[in-house]
Amino acid sequence: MQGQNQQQAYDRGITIFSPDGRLYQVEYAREAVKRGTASIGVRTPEGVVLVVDKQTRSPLLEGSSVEKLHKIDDHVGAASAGHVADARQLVDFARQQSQVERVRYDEPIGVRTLTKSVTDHIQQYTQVGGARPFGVALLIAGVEGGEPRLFETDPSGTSNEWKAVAIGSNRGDIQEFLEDEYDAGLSVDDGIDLALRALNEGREDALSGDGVGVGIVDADTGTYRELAADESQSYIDDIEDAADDSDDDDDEE
Amino acid sequence: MSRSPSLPDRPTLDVDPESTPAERLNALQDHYVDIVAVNGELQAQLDDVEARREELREEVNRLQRENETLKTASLYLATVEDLPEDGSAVIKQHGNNQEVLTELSPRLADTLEVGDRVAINDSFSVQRVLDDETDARAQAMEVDESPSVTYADIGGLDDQLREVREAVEDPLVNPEKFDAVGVEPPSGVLLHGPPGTGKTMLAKAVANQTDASFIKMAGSELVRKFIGEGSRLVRDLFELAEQKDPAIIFIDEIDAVAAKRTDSKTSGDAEVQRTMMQLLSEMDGFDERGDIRIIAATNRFDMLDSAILRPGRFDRLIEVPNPNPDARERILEIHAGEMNVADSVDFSDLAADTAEFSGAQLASLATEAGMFAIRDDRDEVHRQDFDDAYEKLVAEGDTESSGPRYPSYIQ
Repeated sequence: MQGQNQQQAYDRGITIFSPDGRLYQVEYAREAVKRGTASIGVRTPEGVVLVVDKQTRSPLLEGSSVEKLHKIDDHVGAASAGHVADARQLVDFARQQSQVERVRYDEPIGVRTLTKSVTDHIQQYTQVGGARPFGVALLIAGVEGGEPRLFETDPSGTSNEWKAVAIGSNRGDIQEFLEDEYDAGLSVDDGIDLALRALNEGREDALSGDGVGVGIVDADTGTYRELAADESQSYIDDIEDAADDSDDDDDEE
Repeated sequence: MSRSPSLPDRPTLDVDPESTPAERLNALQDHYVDIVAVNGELQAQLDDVEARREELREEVNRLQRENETLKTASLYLATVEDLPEDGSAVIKQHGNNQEVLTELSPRLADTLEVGDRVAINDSFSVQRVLDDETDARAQAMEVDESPSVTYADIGGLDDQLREVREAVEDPLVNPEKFDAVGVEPPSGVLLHGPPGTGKTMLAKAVANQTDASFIKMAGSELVRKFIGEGSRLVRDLFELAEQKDPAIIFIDEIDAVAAKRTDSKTSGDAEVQRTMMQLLSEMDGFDERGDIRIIAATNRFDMLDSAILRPGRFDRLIEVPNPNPDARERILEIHAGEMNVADSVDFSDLAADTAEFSGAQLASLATEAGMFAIRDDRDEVHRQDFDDAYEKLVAEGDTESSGPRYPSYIQ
């Protein structure tokens, strides 16, 4: 009760710090991210894998209209968690930046450069009066000079580079799973497998090909592509088979 | 009682003029006797009336005196601060804290002691000595009638029960054990956990089982309108416990007074905080507290001030969680113990189906199942009734299940 009053005085404007150095509106924006379904990124030497949870609330909703994976350039993709419309704004900005880079320098934009310009854009919305922060976090995956890169942006405008990372709901559990299971020498297939298993970790109902989205940036070809539902389904089937096998093994013991 | 006395007939004498003197004498003599008798009668009546008048006069005097007392000013309360040897006393008036040196009447001088509460009049002379004060509200909190809950009525909280008994009951029952080992028994336990998990029930069972005086109160009772009253109540509460020692104090919903201290400057919050500070100092302050154990319960553990959680105040923080399947089975068995349940009802099966139910919800489930049986005009409760009750309770608790969990603009 008392805490709330105190807090409320400082959460009205984003440009006002609380006495303990917090920007409450930015923290509330992070809450919006937590309420989005999970998105997972895994970096492997062969490329970067993005897996998103597209579970729909109604069977009548077209799964393809759920926008969690976005193509930014030929060599860059992004996964979002949080406000969809905010995500679209950022994706649009990122696409423009990468086109500007191509026009200006005639070369594909670096993933790091792209991420920094996106986060600089996000940051402005934490320091300017009358604006509200972006209620979305992005995972930006791409290939830069043949090297796979995976970045995360958050509503404060901070960016971090990760080997494997999760955003959105259930982030803590998924991240823990990734920390336990991640291996630096994974293949792309292994990476998809790991990300799907991580996603399965925090879910009550079973995964389905329609209910997940998988995007891959391949290091060799340097291109981003999204898997079709049946391709995703085959990966899910493999996981389930493997799980059944290990169950059988357990039974034999 | 107005009564006009019935007067006797007045004797009259008609003397016959033609009668002889002897006859006349006779008649006069008879008349005289009559007159004497009447006189006697009237005399008696007069005595009666005079006695009555005396009575009424006394009544008037009494009423006059009563009226006088009613018209005189009330007495003030004061405390005796000091008793010099010369038969005087230093008293301090309550309220304005004025200190006065006053002569004592010899009758009072012997009985008075320092610290007594006395009544004084306008001229500060001591009129009466009053009883020791403990707040009547604190008195009212003592539980005379032990609740009917026993340890056997508590399902599935075996660990918690053991901890509470160790901390609360053992030191009162077997203090020598603690002396032998040389440890101070924990002074307080705090029960915390989600609503409906049996925290208050645990305390009730302790109250039922123990011989110590059990004093119970709700934290909200400590919040008072006037500054200083809350802390005085806390002090009185502990004083009462000390008088009755060994004693157990149970404070339910302690978060009402023991919420985190903040910088909030509204006087209401500040007063609640002062009440808490009194509680802190009573629990482990400067004064020796005697054989008093404290049990407190809350379901907002996160809101409690860290000072109240430190060892020495609440040594044991016991979490009372939602029941696991075994505990649920046990709880259902307890609640259904009084009910006429069909043999086919498998409680372990039912316990498995009621995941995430709290103890209180299970009690409600059993009652609802009974209601379904009554509605069906049966006097035996079947499994189907429990299932119907489950559907009903889950549907009640989950009215928003049809809508999206989060707004659809968040993905």
